[in-house]
Amino acid sequence: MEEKNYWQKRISRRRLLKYSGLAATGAGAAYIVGCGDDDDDDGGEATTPAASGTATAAATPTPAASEIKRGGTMKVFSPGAASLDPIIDPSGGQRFMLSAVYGTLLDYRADTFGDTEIVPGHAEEWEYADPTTLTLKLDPRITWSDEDPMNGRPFTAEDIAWNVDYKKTTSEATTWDIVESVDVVDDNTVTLHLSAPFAPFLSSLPGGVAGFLYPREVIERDGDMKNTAIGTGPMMLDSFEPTSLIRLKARPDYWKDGEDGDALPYLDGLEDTAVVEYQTRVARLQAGEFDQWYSQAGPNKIDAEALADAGMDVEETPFLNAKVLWMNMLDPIFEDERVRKAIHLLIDRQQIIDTVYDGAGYKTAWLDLPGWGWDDATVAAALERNVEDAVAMLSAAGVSDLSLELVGYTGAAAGSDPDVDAVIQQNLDDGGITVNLAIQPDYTTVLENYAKPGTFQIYVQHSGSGGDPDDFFRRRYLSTQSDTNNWARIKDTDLDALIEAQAQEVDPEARQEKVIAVQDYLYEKMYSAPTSAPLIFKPRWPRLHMSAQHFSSRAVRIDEAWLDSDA
Amino acid sequence: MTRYILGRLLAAVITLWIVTLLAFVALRVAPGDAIDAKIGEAAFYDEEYAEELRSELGLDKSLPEQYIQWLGGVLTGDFGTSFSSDRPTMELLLKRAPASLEMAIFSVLLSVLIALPAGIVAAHNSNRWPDQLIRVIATAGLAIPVFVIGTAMIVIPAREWSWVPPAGYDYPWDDPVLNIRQIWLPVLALSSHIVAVFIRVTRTSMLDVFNEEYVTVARSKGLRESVVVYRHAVKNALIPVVSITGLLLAATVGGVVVTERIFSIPGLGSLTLEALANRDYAQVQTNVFWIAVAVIGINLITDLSYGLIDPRVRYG
Repeated sequence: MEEKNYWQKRISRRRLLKYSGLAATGAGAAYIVGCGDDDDDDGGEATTPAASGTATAAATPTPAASEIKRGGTMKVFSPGAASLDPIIDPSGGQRFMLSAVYGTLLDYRADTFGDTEIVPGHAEEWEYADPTTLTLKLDPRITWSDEDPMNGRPFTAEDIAWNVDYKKTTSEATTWDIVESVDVVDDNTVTLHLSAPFAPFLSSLPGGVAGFLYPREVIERDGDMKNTAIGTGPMMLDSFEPTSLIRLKARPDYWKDGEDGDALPYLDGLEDTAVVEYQTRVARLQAGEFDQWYSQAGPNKIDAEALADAGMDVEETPFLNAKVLWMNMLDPIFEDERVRKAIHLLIDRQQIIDTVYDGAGYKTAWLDLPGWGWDDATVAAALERNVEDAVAMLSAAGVSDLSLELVGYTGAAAGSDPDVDAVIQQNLDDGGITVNLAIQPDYTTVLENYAKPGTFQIYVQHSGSGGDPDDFFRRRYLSTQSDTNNWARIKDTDLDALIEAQAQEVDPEARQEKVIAVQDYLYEKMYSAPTSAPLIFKPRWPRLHMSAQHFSSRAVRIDEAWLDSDA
Repeated sequence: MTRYILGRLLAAVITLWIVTLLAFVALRVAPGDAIDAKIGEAAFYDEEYAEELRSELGLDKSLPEQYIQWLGGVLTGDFGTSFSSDRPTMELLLKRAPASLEMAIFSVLLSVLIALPAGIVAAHNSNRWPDQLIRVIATAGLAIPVFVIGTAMIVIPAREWSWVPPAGYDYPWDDPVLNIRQIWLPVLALSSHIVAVFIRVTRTSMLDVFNEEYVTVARSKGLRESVVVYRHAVKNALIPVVSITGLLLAATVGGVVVTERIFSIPGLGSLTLEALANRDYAQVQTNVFWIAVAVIGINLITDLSYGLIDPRVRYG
């Protein structure tokens, strides 16, 4: 029997930017379910990091000065954080809060959830003189918080040079090792010399753990930032109880002015209480104890609708973190490309969306990032189910009575999902593949017992996208990556070359083509099969006025947030 | 008496040592690794950094070495530093224990206050409607899990009246009003189960006493029923109740975690659970040690209190 060439046929239809397609269909575009303000201005606009930029690039809409009210404490909840240092405790729920304390050189635009357009942060301007020379011009007004030992001193280019050196000694070294040397031109100008062209570098500067600018004097005094937080942002630490409470208060000496002419921030404080249980989160939010649900995994569809009925604004957004079925390449059964492709063809993505996500999900390929992935039509065609062809492929590969173990874990909704695993078990059974589920109690157990030693056969886990496609490609597919990250043990020099090529292409448009080329190659080889992703719901009381946040808690505009006590 | 107490103390030390050893071994052989839990979700897992961290935390030493080092620290009052927060484990335990202790003590007290009269009334009206009613309530309290009652207690008022008890925990000596607002509902949720146990124990114990000869004699002498019940029966029926009070108090301190999580109260139970999830060995070992001390101590006090309630009890 002749094997149909799906892979050639479907790759020819692509190139349109994925979320512009989603915006047109409404499937993945952000929109408001409940009442309230209008945040859905340009959810589908594709954006890529620019090679240079200035302060005029910041296009965040601002409210009229007369509307803004000062005062009040914004209250949120999180799973809690054991320490305040996200470099040391990266799984903690402290990043949102710390983004109000630490400044970053650049920011993501925060008009829309998931927006990846880079705008000025502490650097007013940036420019690549050549692909390895990046010059940043700092805002001269920036000062450290007036707390011992920083005592409100100015933030200078020397601080950046020190941060580069310091981050190289931490778990964030992979982001900063590319910086070969730093030239402090003057107090407000710094030039970073990269050892090679590396386009994703710009994306690592906004927010997040890698981008937070740490205070030299505190690190020299304490060794880390586990129990304190002093930065150049609008808030300062008031109190911290590990895994329980983080309380911030407004910096009285913040260097930036608001629309009303007085110093920012508008809020008096920001409070994060650890609330772990899902139903408790919903109840406390509904009772108005908290202002918004900010973390990535929000309430389910039923509760989101109940919260909207209670008067909350509920934004519906794509998850931006595809769940992918990983096949362990150490297992000889997966050496045959036809077996991998057969598994891909057996997955019924629509069933996952309908039964697991209650219809609130969408099909996505590997890269679930606005502006970078395939267009909608390509995704739909590429992820079409075909049991007949899958069975034929398995037969052609000489595979019968195949039995596989699928590893997953319960717990955090953002990672593995046993319900998705159960659907895949059923799907693969339709093609004659018996799947035994091995559901573990948590991620760490899977990591230690299955992923690191490479003992799993198939494993469904989210892709772990960061703010740049390179985060995902490099972490999961590069041959030289550690077993902890490249858990499927994919060793393909052609793929490595494609990944490196997109990383070294600093021209945004040319890079986009190369990113698509990586995805085309992934489709051709099918080392891992994309499944789907849930839509997520982000409820917020109308009293809170704050621009959207980036999906990984970057670009949170706490300084410009305000609470309307009358609302 | 002194010999008895010394014997019990020696047994307590041995029990404590066994508990710490079991906790240590269980943590180390359990799936997962402290370093993975700490940096496993970092953007790029760096093996070199992982090994550096392992060495820094002393996890590169052999298990016997690690245990002896920890035990040596305990004997000198140094319980170690939390892997996650880098703070002394005792500091965290002392901050979080008051919430659990307060909830446990109040829920047991409330349960005793409700269950003693209810159990007496049930026994005194054995197989009549008051007894049936109390038994139904007690059985329901036992049958419905605390997490269901707790969740209902927080979800229903939120949906119906937009009200929830404040999240978090403030010490009673800092803000007594806020403290009461935070814990009264969790205490009720916890009590729902404890009161049911107390009612059943009190009722059974009272029924046993009512069948004793001295009660029959008291009644035949024409004493008023209230005198028979409260002067003769209750005091003797209290011994099993006191015994179960100690056990329940100890069990509640260690098992309050579900209630803490539902009501977002940072107590000892949730601290232990979080430490377990983070594979924060030092914190778990400290918590287990002191929970064991509390359980053993309460049991000892309970045993010794028998002598106060029942003069017939002698320690040899």
